[in-house]
Amino acid sequence: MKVIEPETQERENFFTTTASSLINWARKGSLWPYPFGTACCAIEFMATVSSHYDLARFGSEVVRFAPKQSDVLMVLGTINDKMGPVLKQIYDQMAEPRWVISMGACATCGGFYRAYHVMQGIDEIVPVDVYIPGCPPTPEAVLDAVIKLQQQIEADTRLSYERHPRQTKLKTPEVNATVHALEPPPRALVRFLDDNQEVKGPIAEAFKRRFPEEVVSMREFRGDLSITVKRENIKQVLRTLKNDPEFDFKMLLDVTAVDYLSERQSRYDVVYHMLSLSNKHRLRLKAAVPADDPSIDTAVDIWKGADWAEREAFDMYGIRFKGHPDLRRILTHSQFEGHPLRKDFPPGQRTMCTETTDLPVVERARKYAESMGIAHPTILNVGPQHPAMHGTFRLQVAADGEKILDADSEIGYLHRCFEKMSETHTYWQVIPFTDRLNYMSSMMNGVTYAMSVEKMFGVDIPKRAQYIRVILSEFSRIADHLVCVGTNLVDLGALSNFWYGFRPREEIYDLLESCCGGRLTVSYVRIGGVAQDIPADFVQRVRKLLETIPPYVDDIEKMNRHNKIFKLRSEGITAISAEDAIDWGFTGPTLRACGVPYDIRKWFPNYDYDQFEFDIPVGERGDVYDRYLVRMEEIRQSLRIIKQAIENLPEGPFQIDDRRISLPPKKGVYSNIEDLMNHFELIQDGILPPIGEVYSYWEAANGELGFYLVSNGAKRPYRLRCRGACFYIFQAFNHMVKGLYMSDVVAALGSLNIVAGELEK
Amino acid sequence: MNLDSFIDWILLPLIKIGILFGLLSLVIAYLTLLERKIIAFMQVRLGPMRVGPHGLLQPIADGIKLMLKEDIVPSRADKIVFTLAPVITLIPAFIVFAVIPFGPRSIHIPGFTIPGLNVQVAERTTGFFITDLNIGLLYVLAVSSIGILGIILGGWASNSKYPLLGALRSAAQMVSYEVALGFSIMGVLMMAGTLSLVEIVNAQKNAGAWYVFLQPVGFILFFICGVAETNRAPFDLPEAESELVAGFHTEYSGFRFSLFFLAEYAAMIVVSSMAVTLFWGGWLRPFPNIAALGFLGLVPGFLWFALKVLVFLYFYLWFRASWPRYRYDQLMKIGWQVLMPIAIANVIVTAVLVLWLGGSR
Repeated sequence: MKVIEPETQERENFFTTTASSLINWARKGSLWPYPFGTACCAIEFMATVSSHYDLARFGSEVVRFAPKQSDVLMVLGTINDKMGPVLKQIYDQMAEPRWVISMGACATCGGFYRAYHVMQGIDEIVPVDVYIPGCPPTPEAVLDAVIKLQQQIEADTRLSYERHPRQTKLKTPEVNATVHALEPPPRALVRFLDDNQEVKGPIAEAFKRRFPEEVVSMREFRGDLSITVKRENIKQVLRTLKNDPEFDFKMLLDVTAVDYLSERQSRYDVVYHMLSLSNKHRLRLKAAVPADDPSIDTAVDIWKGADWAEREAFDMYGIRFKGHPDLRRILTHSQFEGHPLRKDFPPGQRTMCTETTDLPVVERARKYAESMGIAHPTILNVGPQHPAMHGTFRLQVAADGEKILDADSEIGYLHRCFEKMSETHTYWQVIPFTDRLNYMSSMMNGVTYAMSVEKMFGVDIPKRAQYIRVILSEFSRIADHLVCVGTNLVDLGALSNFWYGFRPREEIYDLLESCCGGRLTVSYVRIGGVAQDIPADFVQRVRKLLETIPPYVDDIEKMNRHNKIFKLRSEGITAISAEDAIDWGFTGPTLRACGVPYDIRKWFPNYDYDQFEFDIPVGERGDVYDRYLVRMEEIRQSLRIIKQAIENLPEGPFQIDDRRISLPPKKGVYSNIEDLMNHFELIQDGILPPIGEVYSYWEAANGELGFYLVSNGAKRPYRLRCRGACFYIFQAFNHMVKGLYMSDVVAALGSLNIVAGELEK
Repeated sequence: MNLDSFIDWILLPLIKIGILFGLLSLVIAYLTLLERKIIAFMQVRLGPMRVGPHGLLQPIADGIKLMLKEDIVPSRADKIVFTLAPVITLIPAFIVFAVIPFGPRSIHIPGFTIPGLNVQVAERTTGFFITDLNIGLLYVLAVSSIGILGIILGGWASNSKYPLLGALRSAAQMVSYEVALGFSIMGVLMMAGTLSLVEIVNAQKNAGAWYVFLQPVGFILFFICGVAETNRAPFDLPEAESELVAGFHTEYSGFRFSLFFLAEYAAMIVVSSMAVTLFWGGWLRPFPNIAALGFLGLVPGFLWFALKVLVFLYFYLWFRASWPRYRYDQLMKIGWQVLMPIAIANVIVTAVLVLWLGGSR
């Protein structure tokens, strides 16, 4: 019989156990994180670091962006197939002992992004020690994960960690079968699209007069003018539309495509949305493109802003834009196979992506150096995991010392297939996806999306719902601007502003939480109103917030507005003229900083915005400093709007009383058959909008957020295109930074308010 | 070598070095905690709280962890230089303290007989400093600038782009600010007429006023250049986190990285100590010549010194919490086009005044 003598064993191991407990105590008390932030979770991590939660209490606030100096790799947000190799490289570079925390549903299992470009959990490539559930997890959950990890470390008896292959190799991902294949469109939609109407209006008439030969069909639906032209002469049409003062469509809002599969002779439609700032007109121009020759002339030489939009249409649909200078994939990985938004592409079909490629700037720099007979300039890779690149953007620069000679940017490291996902989900289910577009101000995305479906129905929501949307959206705008300004200043080295910005933000979270339970991604909006009525103390809460926010804003202003160093760093940096900005498709504060007072809330007001008194701040030079000033002033103006809205908050229903859209009252469901049937139908099928296409738009925090929605009358959107404001802003970035210093890149990027979720969809 | 000189030149210095080294390591370790705490308070947070009461054991935990962390040497790095660089940075930062006077020459050691050996040890007086070099100031300037060599070598030996950029920034910064720093203390030299740091403090006592009141411009220049020399905000370009990831030490891990860390904080203390010694009367109490304030003299000199140094360290942290950092070219511009001319003007004006008023000696 074996007798275990615990006492002697303990004595033998006395030294090692004491030593290891001391070492473990040190290790757990000094967990320096590497924040591998990509998406919404990163914002909640920032909240964890901010004053309310203060990760510093655990000794874990020493954020190191050098993987060799950090202990715990915190993966914050969705990792897609393009980002996978980067994540793996960072993990491999970390020094032992190292741990991994996977924050949020996306990092853990892909979340609800069961899509062609999203890694279904980071444990496909790196081992994970602690998983945090939630989408995104609250800061408390992050603190809990840190404590859990500390407990794990405490229980560890190893004294030293050998560098052992804890890593998993990249493997071919499986096709995810949980999402169903998509059906071709019904004939009704095709009929609707081909239907030619007699349209009145200055633009339509002028167009008919100018291009009698080109027009295929013309239609007006819910106030949207839509003209289909032949693709052969598209360039000439577009040029006239831009340059002719009669049309004057100086701003190209969006270029995208729609796939009508086999139901039509010409399979694809290339869709242009444009805006005339002088006449306040909008126009949708379409051109059909056949499947056997999916090509059309490029518009890059007409509007600079068409550059990335066309690349995206190429990436997603495989439509070739003839004459485009740099037609590469943009959102998906260069190794990706297929064009995912085509209707015959299975939504869950992933491609294994392993390499990171050089951008064209390397080749350009080499050729230039050879032709001039000079030394090859330094090629510097900035991002995607560079602290100033906010986790997901990549810039490759050819630099002479610190001066940037040439640059190229790459995006797609957070491409989460929003558009494909919305085609596979019902109208209601799309709302949480929209929250994760611009996660800094998720409320506004939901509002804009709901507006598009409401526009499709042609209904107006009750006043009370409108006011709730206005109040919470304006608060979201404030929160968004505070993060933008705060992180911009942190990038410049002024640390404290970040914490001053996050304090009031946390209070705004509390307000949102009291309404719907969500902090960051609220999902409070419903089609036809909001999810539930506001809580009883809402008005008091808002009044209190109106008093608590201004001091924080003033603090930030006091520290920076007249700060000599801040002015030195920001004045004149990436100044852009109004014309260029419009040409690139800038909107929002970035455009207003150039002196163009384009604000949808004033120009195309809805929701009683025309009755609120507020001003639109504009800058002069369009540089970093002006953008800062515009944002700070917009915060104050938003407070003004909220004040007026809360004083005039109407009573009444918070949901539209339309049985096509909103659920019947519970009382009715339990007592009469009509409501019961209605409830059943809505729950089973969701809402079924009429056949049609609309473009709805709103002034989101960083510019015009637009949703182009095509409905075939079924329960899922046939096509939902998101026009993210920062997509058009960021494409100008590599042109703006040429000739500047490395430090200016950092200052400029922060000032543009690029949110990866919206940029890369 | 007789016993007296053995005690004077070997034993006493060794004891002092031991005490100083221990104290200094502790101070540096706790300076990191102080930084985290103070900046946290400025940002409406608490800072470290869980490791020890109020986070008081945080630096120890950090130290142990860093020491036991895997030490990675990149395969393409220049291995010898890579390992040497942190040491080159750290050693000068520590040996500068040899000449800094923390207090007056006021430690009395009574004479005694070593029992058993029957050797008589004479009574002697020594000071709160390891040695009083007659070229102390030159020594400080010379030695402290070696430290930056380590940064440059570290960045270069890493064979990586970001560290190299950090190292280049550091080199440029050193060259530009060393010169202005040298000029900024010329005024003090002319007024004190000595290079010995102990004598400079004594000269302030004799002059009846700390030199900051006689050399305000010189002091401001000195402190600005000092902050720049130590690579701290708003001049923390060589390790600008948001621009260069971690700057020159991006490729360093574990213990070697902590050496750079230590050196940086030691350098902060050096600059603060120098500012106190040269301009703020060293160990002297406030208003050393006003007898009515004599009760202040009850506080020992080295505590006055420590208190003053702490104030400057606080300034360092304050700067870090408040200001953005300069851009590389702006930093150069300020160094050469603003600080240098003012420093030279200050030297000329002081020289004229010293000659005209017959000097303060």
